[in-house]
Amino acid sequence: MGTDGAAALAALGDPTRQAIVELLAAGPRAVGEIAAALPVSRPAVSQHLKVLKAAGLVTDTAVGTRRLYQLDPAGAAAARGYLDRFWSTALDAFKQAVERSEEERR
Amino acid sequence: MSGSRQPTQAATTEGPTVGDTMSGSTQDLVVRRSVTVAAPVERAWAVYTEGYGSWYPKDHYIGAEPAETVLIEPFAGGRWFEKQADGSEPEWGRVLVWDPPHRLVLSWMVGGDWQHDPDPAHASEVEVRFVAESPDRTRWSWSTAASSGTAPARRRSSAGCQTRPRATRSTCAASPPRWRADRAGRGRGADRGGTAITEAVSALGRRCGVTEGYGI
Repeated sequence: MGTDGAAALAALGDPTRQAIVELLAAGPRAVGEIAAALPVSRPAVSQHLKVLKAAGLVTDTAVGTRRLYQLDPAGAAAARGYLDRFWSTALDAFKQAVERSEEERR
Repeated sequence: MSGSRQPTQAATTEGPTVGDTMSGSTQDLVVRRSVTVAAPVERAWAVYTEGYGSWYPKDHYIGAEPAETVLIEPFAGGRWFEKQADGSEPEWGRVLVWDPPHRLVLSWMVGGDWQHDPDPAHASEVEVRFVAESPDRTRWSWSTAASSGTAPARRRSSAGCQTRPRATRSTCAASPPRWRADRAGRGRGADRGGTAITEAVSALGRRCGVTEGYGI
């Protein structure tokens, strides 16, 4: 799966997927367990998990007869990295603009 | 501190104030990002608001192509919007509180599909603060609502949290919003101001151990 931070954040732009991610933050879960914890049907949960997998945020493994979904650290790091790079760029630009403006004033 | 200019640290997303809970607001806010600038608070306010178009990341836009500029109308109820070459002015949100030069509260009204979402119930609030640390030094900070917990029902009813009850297209991630990917490949998606995305990323961090040095 890709570790594209932008894609990971885009996948998080949905409240159900956010809720799934927060659930999985507590530990691996099967589809049925996720559906039971949210006001969402099993097919909908499956669809959201597919999107999260494609975005590199979630992986799944077979444990016995069950399939468990868990957060993918690489996707998590990519999402956080993207967010941090965005902020770093924006805040540096703001800071430079303010300080340049102040210098010109003096 | 006799008024001599002191070098300020590089823009940082960390620092002692990040994560602090701001009191005195109608709801608990958490400082998500902050930076110190070497300028009086009035200057910082002016550049942030009137000068928004001069510093915001140009690869972030919700129209059909990069915007010509982004503006904040200087009053409560004012629009926060981008100007497109075709004359359209898609809105990012609204000004909720205009209190120069100290406090600006914005309503972020862009949905998960990166289009304007006019429903105020879906908006998330952002508080931007300018605190004078000295006559020529200002601490800028960006705060959103504190975590409302993990239950989706609670999240949807909490003020300030990003909510999108309408159905999401199943191909959402497979077909990224047309404006998200730009030529530089950096795309967009971060400046949503949304509490929920911040919390989700924080959850990712807690679980996956990627928390060192992150100020979220």
